[in-house]
Amino acid sequence: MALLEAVASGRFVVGPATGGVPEVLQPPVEGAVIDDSDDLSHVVRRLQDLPAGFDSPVNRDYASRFDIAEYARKIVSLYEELAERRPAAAIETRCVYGMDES
Amino acid sequence: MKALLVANTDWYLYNFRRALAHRLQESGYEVTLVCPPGPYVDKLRNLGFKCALLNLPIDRLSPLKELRVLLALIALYRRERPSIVHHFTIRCVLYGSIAARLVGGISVINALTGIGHIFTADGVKARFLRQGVGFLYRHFLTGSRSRAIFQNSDDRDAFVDAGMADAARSHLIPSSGVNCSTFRRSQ
Repeated sequence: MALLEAVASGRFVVGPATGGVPEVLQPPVEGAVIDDSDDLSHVVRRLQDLPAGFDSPVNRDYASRFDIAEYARKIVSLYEELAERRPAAAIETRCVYGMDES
Repeated sequence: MKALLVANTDWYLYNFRRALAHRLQESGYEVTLVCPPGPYVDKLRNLGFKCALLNLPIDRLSPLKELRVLLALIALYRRERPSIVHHFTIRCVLYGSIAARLVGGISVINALTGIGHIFTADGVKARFLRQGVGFLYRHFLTGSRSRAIFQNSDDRDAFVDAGMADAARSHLIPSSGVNCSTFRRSQ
């Protein structure tokens, strides 16, 4: 959650190679996953090359997929499904972090 | 229709679920937020939400206290008679689902943001709890009036494979929603 909030702010986001971090910090997101001290030093050098006030429209666009309004819309759809006793799985259960889901 | 949103802290509801609560109100639902007492309860009430307080003790392995939580939820659901209850976090999911089943006539949405440490830990206590919680999940989280929301496919598959969730009634909705207007770069 905090990771996506950082991405939503348009920042270059750096995180460890654990949990769901690598699933978020993959192209097109502008950021880096660090696994060890070599990765860290590489990322620090890369950060030095970033322009002042770096603001990634790519990151903001990516985070917009997870916007709370869209989340609320899906949940309300689920409420309607239950209220109307529609068949299950009527709401979209699309990709997670760019990976195709069946 | 009446909907209850049940969570283990007031700040969780305030920070992460108030946008959903607003959207539900806009969609015509009568929303009541259920959580332990805390400093964010007044903030939620100031936003116009009805709040019901639930005493949720921190020392989690007192069976008597846990039973009291379950009884309190049963009493609340009987009193409020909601059409839908929406549970967040593992204890609310578990006790809330049992309470809804016992009261009857209530549709349930369970938001499972993770599988819980008892399903990943290796200790004796975790293994013991895993058996009990797994049994309760299999009996109370499934059913035609119940829906489960997972944030990633690994958790969903783990629950479905263990018979703790119905595949056809499980939904994959990544993240809890990011407020993109809040998280803008400051100049």
